[in-house]
Amino acid sequence: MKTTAAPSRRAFLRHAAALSTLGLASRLDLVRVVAAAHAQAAPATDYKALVCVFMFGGNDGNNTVVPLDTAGYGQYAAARTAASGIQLAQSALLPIQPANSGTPYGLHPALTDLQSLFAQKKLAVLANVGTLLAPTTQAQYNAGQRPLSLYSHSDQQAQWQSSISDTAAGTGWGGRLADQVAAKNAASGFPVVTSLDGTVLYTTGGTTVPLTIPVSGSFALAGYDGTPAANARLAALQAMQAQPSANAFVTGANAIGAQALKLSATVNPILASTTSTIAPLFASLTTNTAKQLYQVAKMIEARAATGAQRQIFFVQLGSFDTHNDQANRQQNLFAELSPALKAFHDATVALGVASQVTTFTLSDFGRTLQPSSGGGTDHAWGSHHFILGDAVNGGNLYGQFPQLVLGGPNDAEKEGRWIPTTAVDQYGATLARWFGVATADLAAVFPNLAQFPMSDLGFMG
Amino acid sequence: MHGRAARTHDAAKPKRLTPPPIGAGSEQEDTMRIPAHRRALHPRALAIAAIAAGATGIATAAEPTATVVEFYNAKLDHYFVTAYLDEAAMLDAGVVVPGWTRTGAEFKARAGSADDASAVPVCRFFGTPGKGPNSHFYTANAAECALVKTNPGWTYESIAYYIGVPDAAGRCATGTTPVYRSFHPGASVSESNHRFLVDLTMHQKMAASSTLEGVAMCSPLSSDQMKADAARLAEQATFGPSDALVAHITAVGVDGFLAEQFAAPASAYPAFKYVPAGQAQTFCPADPDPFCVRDYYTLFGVQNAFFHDALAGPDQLRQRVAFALSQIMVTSGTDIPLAYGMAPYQQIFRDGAFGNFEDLLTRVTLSSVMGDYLNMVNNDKPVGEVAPNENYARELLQLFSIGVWEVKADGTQLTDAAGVAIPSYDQDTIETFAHVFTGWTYPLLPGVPQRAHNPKNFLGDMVAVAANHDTGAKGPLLDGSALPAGQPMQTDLAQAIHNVFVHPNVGPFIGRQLIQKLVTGDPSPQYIARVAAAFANNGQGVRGDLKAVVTAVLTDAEARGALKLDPGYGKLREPVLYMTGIARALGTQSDGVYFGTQSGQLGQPLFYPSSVFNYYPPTYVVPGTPNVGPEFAIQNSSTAINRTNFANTLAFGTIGPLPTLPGAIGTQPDWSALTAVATDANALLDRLDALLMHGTMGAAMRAAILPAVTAIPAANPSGRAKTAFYLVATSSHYQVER
Repeated sequence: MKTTAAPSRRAFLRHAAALSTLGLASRLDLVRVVAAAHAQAAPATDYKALVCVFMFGGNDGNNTVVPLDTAGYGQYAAARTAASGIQLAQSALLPIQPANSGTPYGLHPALTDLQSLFAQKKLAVLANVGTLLAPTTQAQYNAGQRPLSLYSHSDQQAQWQSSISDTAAGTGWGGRLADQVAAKNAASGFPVVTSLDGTVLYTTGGTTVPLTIPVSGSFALAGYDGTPAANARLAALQAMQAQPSANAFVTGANAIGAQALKLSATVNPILASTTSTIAPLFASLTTNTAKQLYQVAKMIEARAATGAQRQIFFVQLGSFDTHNDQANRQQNLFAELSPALKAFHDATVALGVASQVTTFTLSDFGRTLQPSSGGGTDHAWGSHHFILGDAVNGGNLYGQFPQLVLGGPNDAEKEGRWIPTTAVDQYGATLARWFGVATADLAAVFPNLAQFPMSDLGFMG
Repeated sequence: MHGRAARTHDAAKPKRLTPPPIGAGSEQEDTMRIPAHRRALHPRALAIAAIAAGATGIATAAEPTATVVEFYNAKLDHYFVTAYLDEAAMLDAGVVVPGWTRTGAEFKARAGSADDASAVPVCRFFGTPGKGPNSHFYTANAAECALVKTNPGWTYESIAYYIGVPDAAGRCATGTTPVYRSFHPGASVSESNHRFLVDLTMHQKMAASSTLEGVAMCSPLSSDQMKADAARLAEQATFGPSDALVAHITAVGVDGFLAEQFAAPASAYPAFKYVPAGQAQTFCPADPDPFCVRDYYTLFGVQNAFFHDALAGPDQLRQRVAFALSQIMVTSGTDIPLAYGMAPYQQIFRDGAFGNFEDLLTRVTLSSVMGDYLNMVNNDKPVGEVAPNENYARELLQLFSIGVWEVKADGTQLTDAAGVAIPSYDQDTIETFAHVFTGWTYPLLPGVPQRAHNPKNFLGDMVAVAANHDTGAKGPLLDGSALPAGQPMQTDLAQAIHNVFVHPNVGPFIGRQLIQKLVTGDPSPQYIARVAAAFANNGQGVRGDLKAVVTAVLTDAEARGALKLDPGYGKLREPVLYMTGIARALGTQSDGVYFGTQSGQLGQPLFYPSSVFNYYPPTYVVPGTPNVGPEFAIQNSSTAINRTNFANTLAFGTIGPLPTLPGAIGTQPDWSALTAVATDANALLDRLDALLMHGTMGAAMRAAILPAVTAIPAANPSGRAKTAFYLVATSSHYQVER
């Protein structure tokens, strides 16, 4: 990027408005222009963000990444029969060729944007990752070595979010990661974690308290117009929130309420801003996922105002529990997810932080390779996930792809429930290391990490 | 029961006592030596009693004339109670005897024997210095008193107050509440100590350090305490108290109120027009209703009916229990946004709220709405590589009946010989139930020929298609048994549901959640066990009688009482109950529209939970605490602001009728009662304290609110009333019900 004088904000906005009428073809130009607008203004601070996109319900990894070689696709098609209604045709899959693998794979047909991000080496695939106590063979599984309550949504969500599979955890690995890096935000006091989905376990730390912002709408406290009466009322509200209580629930409600009041003044103008330079990138997207990622992008854009140097965002997309009608439902979900991730990545490019922001997916579990009645699939275990950003060693497939054979060597049962070959702990630790957690401190975030041979899977360079 | 007096006696027996350290005596109980004849009971008590008894006639007995106040000394780890005002004042001052602070616990008693003929004297003892415990001891048991008087380790001081005693079975008479006694042995005899509590939750927790000795006394309830308990029952059993409701419950009593509520017929959701699923774009343009999409293809009307009935319906308890059950056996408008389907689904819980749980489970299982939501509909026997759908099988077991772990009757986990928790089912069991639930399809639409898979339709329960049912033998069920081959599919289903229903987990699993949703978020195992016992047997040998279960939840000693002080007691009001609670307190008339739209803003989009796991899980632990607080899962900075803004709109805004809704009235609070008393700011807060907080507004909260109220001129009583109401409603002390 040339360091010529950036256009004035007003000039830029006119330019952007003109460009936005040109449609998608000019999107790349727009990204360049937005990036130019930020080249000068961007604060030269040490900034990093992790963006967790949780696919609630358990995404079917088997129809997300499919082997395209004859043997691999043949295994897939033998189990996912055409008659089941959920077989993806070999010709419909979007080919990707991992640089680190001889095997060609295909992405689900709705993941066109992810296909191109993979080709641009911005996106990596992590195969067959899941909840584990330790590396687990079929024999060990049969002997009882398995996470608590496998195949249960709530338990497996909690284990993916906590990276703890042998007991009910009280904190998540995002929250514990935030605890580790909280000192970076000490000057501003801005929370490390910002959630678009409330206080999920992932965001809960030992000491840090997550901020939740709305997907849309106001984050402003209504009814305060600066009159003496209103000021006295606000003072009373705050005084009550500051009063200690012996009751745990009153204390908890006070903490949440006081934080909300404190941060609303900073955050609401950011969310309500109509002058965000990245707005055009999201203008054509109306989905909930895009709205959430737009809010995230606005918070990143405003990092100078918030003073945050480390941020972890939690974004969610639901309805992946495709017990029936999976063909249509997963298509619609990916058609929502893929362009939203693309727009968000473009926003990070435009803001000049693409190498400082890493986005990744999590989900409850994978789904059975064997179809179930109603054109769907049932709860399973290991699955495939995506990592996106300029800091990612993109264009590669990490981990080990399972053999798609019912009752085969990777199957925990007989319906194609893959025993993970990579643990959530390793996945998270690789991200945490990039985020700035020292090797010695990784165990504080991932207490079972030592069970696994590698704490760095290599996808973060 | 007073065989337990021996413990007191024993405690004084050993003679190796450490004398109180010289110079450190001010830490010790033995310096609490105001001469007995100079100790004073509360002078106002008699006057209050006279007024209360004369004015209301609620209490047949005279008002209690003494208050027994508890103090705690952290250094000694001792509890001490006193009915003497000057002694309490001395401890409050902390000068003569430092180190004692009030715990907040107290109970009522009688100053003299004339107040109540059935009250007995309570002997007060002090551990003889150098011989007995550094502690005080009280007993209402004459034999125990006489025995302790003979013990040189104890010095008899006085008759401290008068109080009731339990009958031979340990029960207290109506109008009194049990005082539980626990004994803390301490490291040495001089450190031993008794504690007296009316709060059963706290008493039970003393078991960690003490021996629970049971009911020692029966404390007379004041009319204020009875009113506070009535207000608490209204919070637990209805969508929120009003002055009139609290007065009514106080008059008819807990049992009388429950009997009325059990007898009240169910409010009915309106019937909504059948519309073809997923065809709003083609159906609605030809429909005469210009708001066809909103009225039939969303749950707008169902939400409105819910809130209208919650605010105004007479069958309050039935609706509360229905709302709780609908959050256990969850379907959602995210998948089924059809009013004509969701209204009858929700009606199942109103109709079945006081029926048998097995019937409810059967009705839910056969519901076409549930069938669609969890894919039991059109679930066929195995064909080729396609297996029966496991969705309903799994969630029926995990969420609707038994949970994932084997539990004891008190809800705590069972463990095997190695101390490892035991899963209550495995994948094979899930697959068994998945096979059982094959062969059901949508009900038949009039005029449409029956097919193996009928088109989507929610007019009635699912119907059986025998050809699609797996007729083979199916096992294992939960107890390892199997269903024989060749049974009619209805028989398979009934036997499988019964197999679930009789699993010992069901009582504690469902009972715990009903306690959580009606009373407190983190109930004690003892409370769960008492409710589970009612589930197991309603007293007439019937299992699963929800009327008995609800009665057990609401009449339990851990539910009842005027004041709950355990740090883990209570629950954050979930958004729906928060909104209805403050609206009903204001006598609000509403068409429900505003509540429906706001429910999502507050984190609980009514009838649109994001999954079968409900708006929030029953196991959510409040971060930074050891306490389960399910509603905190949807309380965050965003929803907290929106709660405050809801109260702001209700108090200061105008919520007019929706022009597009026939008969709409908007939401109209009635401020007259509060405005009438608002020129006197303290009187206004007294009224709000009684109405919204059953008398628990503390001095600090009052002091915080008062300046904001008096910042508004007394000539603007409406502004004062709204300001005070807003501040109470947005306080955490109100938002947390306890």
